[in-house]
Amino acid sequence: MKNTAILCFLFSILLFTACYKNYDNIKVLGWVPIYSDSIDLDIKVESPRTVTSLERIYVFQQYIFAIEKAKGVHIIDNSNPEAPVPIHFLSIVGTTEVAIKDHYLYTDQLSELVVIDIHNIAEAMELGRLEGVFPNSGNLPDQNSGYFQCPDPGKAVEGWVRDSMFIPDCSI
Amino acid sequence: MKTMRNNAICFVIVLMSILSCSKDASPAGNVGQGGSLARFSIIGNNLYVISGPNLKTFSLTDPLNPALMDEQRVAFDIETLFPLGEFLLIGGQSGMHIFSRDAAGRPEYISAYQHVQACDPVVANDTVAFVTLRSVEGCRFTETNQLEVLDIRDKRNPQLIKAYTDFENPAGLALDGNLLFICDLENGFFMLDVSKPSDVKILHHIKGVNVHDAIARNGLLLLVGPKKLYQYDYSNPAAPRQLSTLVVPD
Repeated sequence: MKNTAILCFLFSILLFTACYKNYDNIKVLGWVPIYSDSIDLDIKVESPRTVTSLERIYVFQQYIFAIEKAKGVHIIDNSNPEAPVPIHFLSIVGTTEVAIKDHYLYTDQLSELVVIDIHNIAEAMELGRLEGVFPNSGNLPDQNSGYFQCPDPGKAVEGWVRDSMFIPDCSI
Repeated sequence: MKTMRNNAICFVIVLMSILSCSKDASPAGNVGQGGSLARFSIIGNNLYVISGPNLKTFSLTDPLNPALMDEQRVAFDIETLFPLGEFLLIGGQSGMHIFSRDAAGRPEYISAYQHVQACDPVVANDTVAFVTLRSVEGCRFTETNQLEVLDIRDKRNPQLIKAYTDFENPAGLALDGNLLFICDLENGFFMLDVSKPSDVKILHHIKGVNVHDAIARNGLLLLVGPKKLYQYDYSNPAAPRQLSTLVVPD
């Protein structure tokens, strides 16, 4: 009887051991962040720029705001939808989203919420900033791209490269 | 004595009308409009943001000094935010979450509609929500590419009315009245008549464009693709007309 109990105990240990897999040693394909050398957090109005990768769009009055991921916002005068005219590029390193109310544009810049006055778009300027409110955000790889190395929240991500890695903490 | 009572009644009526006025006139302000993939949304004096798994609420009462007033964990896989009057609809990879907003704008969880794991923005009117599910590499393990139409009259109990599978990679979408626009990436976009949610009809499938999100209002459809912006006039739904294609120049 005692032997049976011991056998049963040993057998169940065996079963539990079989469940255990060490995932630490498994390599997967994922994305590695490339950081820009210098982080320039200044908001700047520049001349229109080539599109590399458009993400979100936002419409406010006669203007279209088209987000160039992590770089800034193309501002387009759409007074005539048959002939929209790019008028400015609002450089905001690290941006992914905008929303506008009463000529104040709210955007994320890495972990910060920034308020930009666009009463006069040609002279748009930062008027407020709330730090540390988006610890998870910043510039992530494209949606649905699987594993990626969690980016350093203090750095601006310029882009991503595919590489093999041990299973990272971050994934989309 | 009677006059005094009348005065009191009069005062109450006036006060009530003033209060109701101030509520009606409570400035929605001059707010812009985002596409269905947006994670930022302004309603009244609140900015709502999807940040990681959390829904964050900022007060814009002092527009230059936004203040974080609320933060709630919703789900690890939430992606999009759609404002619907006193409600917020949040799209995630495993379902749609419905929140109401209290007088201060603070969100309160009401319910969730769970579906298969896929990528899914949502748009809605008061009674019906439209959710696209898209399976792409890395976006979970489904082969689901469809539009799900949900009855949301009872916000506590959203119900599937019908799923439509005419799409390859349904992504962003836009709703204007009874017209629904669905971006289908390299497969162009669709314009649908959704006046009968149980019998949604494809009016047009326009190919030759690659688009992932849309904004539709007042007969003007704005579509965004990785490199281009497209605009269509749909004021005559029988014959949408392309107005322009924009590539931002050097």
